[in-house]
Amino acid sequence: MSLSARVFGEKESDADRESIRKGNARKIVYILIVSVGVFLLAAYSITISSTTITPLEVYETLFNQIFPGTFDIPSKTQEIIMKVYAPRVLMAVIVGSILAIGGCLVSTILKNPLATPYTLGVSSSAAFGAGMSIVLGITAVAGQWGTMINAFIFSLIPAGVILMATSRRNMMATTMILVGVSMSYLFSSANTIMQYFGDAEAVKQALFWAVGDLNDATLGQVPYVLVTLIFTTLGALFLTKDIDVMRMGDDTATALGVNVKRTRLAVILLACLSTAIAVSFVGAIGFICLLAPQISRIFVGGNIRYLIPASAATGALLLTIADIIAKDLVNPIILPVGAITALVGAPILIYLLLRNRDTVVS
Amino acid sequence: MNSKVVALAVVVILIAAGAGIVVYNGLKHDTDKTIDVNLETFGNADKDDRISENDAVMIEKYIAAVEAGDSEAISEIDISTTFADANLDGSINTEDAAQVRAIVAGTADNIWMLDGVGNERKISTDISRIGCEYFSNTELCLILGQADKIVAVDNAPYLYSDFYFTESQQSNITNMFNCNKPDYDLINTLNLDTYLLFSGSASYEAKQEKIIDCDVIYLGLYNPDLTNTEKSSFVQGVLKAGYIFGAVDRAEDYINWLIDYRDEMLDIADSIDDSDKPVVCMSNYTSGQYFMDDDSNLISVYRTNDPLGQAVTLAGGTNVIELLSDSSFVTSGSYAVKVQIDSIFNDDESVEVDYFFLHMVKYTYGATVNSGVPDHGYLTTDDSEMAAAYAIATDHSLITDEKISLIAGDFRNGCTGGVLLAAYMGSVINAEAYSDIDPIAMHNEYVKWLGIEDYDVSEDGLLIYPSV
Repeated sequence: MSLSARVFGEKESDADRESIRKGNARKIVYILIVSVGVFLLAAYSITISSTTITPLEVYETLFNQIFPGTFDIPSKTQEIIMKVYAPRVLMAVIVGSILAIGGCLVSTILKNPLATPYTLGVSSSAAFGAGMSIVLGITAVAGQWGTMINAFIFSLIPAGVILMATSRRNMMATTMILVGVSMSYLFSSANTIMQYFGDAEAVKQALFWAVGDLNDATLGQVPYVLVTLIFTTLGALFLTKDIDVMRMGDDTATALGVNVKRTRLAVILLACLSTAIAVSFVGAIGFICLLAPQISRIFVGGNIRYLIPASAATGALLLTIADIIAKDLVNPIILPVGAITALVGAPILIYLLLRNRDTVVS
Repeated sequence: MNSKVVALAVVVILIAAGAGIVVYNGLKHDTDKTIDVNLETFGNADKDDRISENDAVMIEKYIAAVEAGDSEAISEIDISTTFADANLDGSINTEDAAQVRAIVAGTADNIWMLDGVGNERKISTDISRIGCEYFSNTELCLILGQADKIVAVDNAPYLYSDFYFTESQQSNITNMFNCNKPDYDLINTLNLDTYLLFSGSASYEAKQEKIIDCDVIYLGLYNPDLTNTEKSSFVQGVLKAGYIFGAVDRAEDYINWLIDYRDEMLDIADSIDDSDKPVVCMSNYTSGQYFMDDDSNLISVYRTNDPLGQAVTLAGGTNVIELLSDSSFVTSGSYAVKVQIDSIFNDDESVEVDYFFLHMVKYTYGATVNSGVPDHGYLTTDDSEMAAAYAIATDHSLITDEKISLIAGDFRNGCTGGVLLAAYMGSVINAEAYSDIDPIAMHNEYVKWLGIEDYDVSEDGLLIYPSV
């Protein structure tokens, strides 16, 4: 059933219904294909090894995690697989999904394809927080978690500013974007100044962090990002109906009983919070927020019920591809995955945009 | 004479003499210390700098007193109950005494200790394959006679293979490349028993988890302390390594060698009146700073807690940072600050630098090579690049009669905690006072500590320019 039919109770013809059914089927097929692609690529990625560990041993080890002792695999092999290979593959899938959902939510609710949590300042503020830890040695929490906690705290600032601003006045979508962009530039500038005067080695470390990397991902971090993904997905599902209605315009949505201001704020906070958590673990892996939703829109359109899962799957796919390239391209040198995402994704997006000239991507 | 008067006079003289000794020792820089750390290795019950039979005896006394319920006896035993638990099982018992004796005999299978960031670690002593990050760890292993067991180093020491290792040893060495962002797959193929970290922060936790079946240890060599060498984490790290690799005597001998030189230089430094001490700026020759890039207005200055900054003190100089006000710091890091050039080059007579020592790093921990930095180090004999860099560094209008020296990154990143640099520096800034200190001879002694024969620093390497 079309959005207007659902909302306004308009009657549809059989032809319309058939057309909609076919369209929805295509969307579901896209989601399924991409999801299968994620699974297959992840299954391949986890076997990439410069050791003598075979793919069969990898899969048997994974099976052993569910049914312990089924296969006789040397304990060191199992440890390597579960501590070195598995964490970065899992993080690639989960973080890719989180970033993509965040980008999808923000671009939809603000009706601007360029609007993502990163555009709103999450990545710049996180990079600044991490930079304070790495370059200046200033952390909110001492010890190994210092950089991560710093990044998280600072990445919440843009969302906090938007929250405060909207509590005082009814802020238009464009205004929110401008506020976010301004904060993004603010933190970028502050970061630049800090790095300009910083020690060369520390600055290099901070830059690597800002680019984003999965090499140091550990299995212990996976539950945190997995919970974040679940929370984000559930939150997005909860808000789906209102977001869908808001696609028809703020006035229409208000007339239909949607609290536009609260919904917009909730979506932005959800997207920024989940992105902040992901970024604090792996750094500011760029472009997934922007790329995945746009690619998904080309195939599934703007219906948020399909766009969210499509974006999640596409984001996971893109980051998994980027991770494979990062660890295999100039082996044994590991490239930072954040440097690869744009290299991989931008040509894909340009190609798709040029091929689908009539597709509206906002 | 009244015997009572004589007795009284003797007593007075003795008291006066004793007081004089106390005062003299207080005034004199207390340089005759031996190692004075509370070794952070479990089993060190008596809080000294080594594990010995005395620790086992103390543990047994403590156990006996506890079993007897003799609280007075317990209080009289000056035992570290934390470190008396030699096997870190949560209780002090006869097993701990046995563990101590095993450590002393060199038969302990494992040793428990605090690593360089204070975490408790259980470390196997059955070591045949060692991986080392960066110069300090590599050189420490060489000092402790572990050259044959080193099978992996990162890119920087790998580029020094011809210096560090014999041909046969080199065939066993794998380059781990960038250990800032390591290829864990590669490292795990090496089947290392021990992996020594350069830093306690860069991927410390990830490396602990992802390098399998290997003791990943940060010894704390990153934080030497020349002013208090005996108590520094650097000394702790060297001693701990001695216990890990079964080379305790060697570790202690090396530290004592270092401290002896430190004492000698500090005595000389103390004999120089503060007003006669030349002012030294310990800085960097690197891109983005004044001496390399004329467009830059920034100069880095190392703090007194950095080995480079401390070398100035040891060499009888005044570190310029002590003359600068905090308000002149453009950036303020833990080990160095950056100042505008006018903080150094101005008409303020209270800040007049006599010497600049410019530290250079060619091969970084991140496996990059700083292209603007001239070729130097233990394998370089051609000084043409250094001469060109020297010409660049000295060709600045603000530099008038200050003397400039380019110094190798090895002085900060090696395993001498800056003591070796102080020897060179002393011969430059206080040549007469430090005439008895021969930096070349000292450096050649250090090379011998590395187990390297047939090498003369003055002919086979290039570590300071102009040469001393």
